[in-house]
Order: sequence, then structure tokens, then C-alpha cells
Amino acid sequence: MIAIIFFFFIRALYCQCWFSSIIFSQEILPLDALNIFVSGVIAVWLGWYITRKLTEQRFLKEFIIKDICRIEEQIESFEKLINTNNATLQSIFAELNDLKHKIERFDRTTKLTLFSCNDVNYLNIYHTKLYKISTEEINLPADSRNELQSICDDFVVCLRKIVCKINNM
Amino acid sequence: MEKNVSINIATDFSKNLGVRVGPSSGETFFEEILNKKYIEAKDTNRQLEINLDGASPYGSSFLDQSFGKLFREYGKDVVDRIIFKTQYFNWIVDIIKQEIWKS
Repeated sequence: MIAIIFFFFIRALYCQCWFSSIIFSQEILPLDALNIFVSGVIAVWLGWYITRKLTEQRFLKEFIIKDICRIEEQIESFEKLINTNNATLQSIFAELNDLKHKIERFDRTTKLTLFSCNDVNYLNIYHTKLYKISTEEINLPADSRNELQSICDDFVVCLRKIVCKINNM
Repeated sequence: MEKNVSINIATDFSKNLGVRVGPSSGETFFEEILNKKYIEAKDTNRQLEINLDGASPYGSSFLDQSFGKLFREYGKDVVDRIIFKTQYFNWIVDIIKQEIWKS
């Protein structure tokens, strides 16, 4: 549609003799040839370089977001455990230990990249809250499940905020 | 220089830890091992090395009834005198220092 409109616009200009003063020389000077060559090289290099940088950045973002997804999966595993009748101190501690190691790995990875994020501190705070409530007794009391579930919800939302931040960088 | 006083929780106490009170609990750990070794370290002006690896789970109530009680009895000296050794539970050391001892 735009092409059609553009075509009629150019045709109108031609009919009004807007192009009559334009003269095309058939001579190609050495300087013109060099100009075309250099411009072409610069355009190709810029295209390659910018595309590569964008691809690298996209790859790194997706890599880090995958790490966050693993943390979320670990939280889901913890949620499943606390909603069973088999949630013992030993099993809960094992889950929290795995979760902590994943958070630390994520923190160390982001510090290597440009995607460093202060929200990792909140992840540690949520982890500590889960730890304090769920490792008080040998068997998890039923009345602490709601509180733990609420903390898990906030935990996951925090993770998703980090994903949005990283995606917008 | 004299060697530090040391505790390996897994070998000196138990590999399977309990909670606040009861078998292999924080209370028992404090009464039978931690308190005695701490006093020994303090009297001989040495540090107390505590190895956390090999034992689990380190529940919040276990930590509070052992390390928390030690801090409540002896104060800030505990923070300066105790050295934790662990490869797998650095986060437990952070919990002890930041939450239990609030240092």
C-alpha cells in the first residue's frame, strides 16, 4: 500500500518536471569507485558487528533467564514437598540447600555479566524466611503451610520481576 | 602456636541432627560438646574451629538452641572466637552470624 502511494508520488513529481535538472553522468571517477567500495565495506562490517552483538546479548539474557527458571522450579519442588504429609526436617533441609546453591550460582553468574541485579538480596531474604519457618520442627506443622505458601508466591513474583528487568536491559 | 580447639559435628556428635530438644538436639549438642569446648578454648586463649560438613539437617531450632544459647551466655566473644569450616554449608554459617548472632 505504501509502495503504491510512493509510486504515484514519484510519478506526480516526474510529471511536474522535478527530475529534469538531474543529470546522470556515465563516467565513473576513481574517487567514486573508492567511495562506493569503502561505503560498502563499512555497511557490511557494521551490519555484521551489530547483528553479532545483538545476538550475543540475546543469548546471554536467555542463558541467565534459564538460571532463574531453574530457581523457580526448585521453589515449586519445595512447594510440592510442603503440601505432602512426608515433609520431614531432613527432606525440607535438602530442598532448601539445593535452592540456596542455585541462588548463589545465579548471583555469581550475574556478577560476571552486565546483568548484575540488586534484587538477588531479596531472593536470599525469602530463602531465609522459608528456612526459619520450615526447619523449626522434625515434622512440618500443618498450620505453617499457608505462611510458607505465601512466601513462595512472593519469592516467585520477585524472580519474575528480575526476568523483566533483565529482558529490558 | 598451639592448635585450635576443634569440633567436627558429624564425628564428635551426630550425623543426623535433631531440633531444639530431644535426641541429637541443639540442647544436647550445647550441653555435651559445644559449651565444654568453648570454655576450653577460652581458658587456653585459643580459637574454636567447628566443622559443619557431614552432618545434617541444620534446622533453625538446632542452631538457635546451640549457637544461639552460646551467644546468649558468653556474648560477643563467641563471634570472635569461633571459626566455622565448611565446603557445603556456607549459607548456614551466614544464618548463624546474621540471624542467630545478629553480628
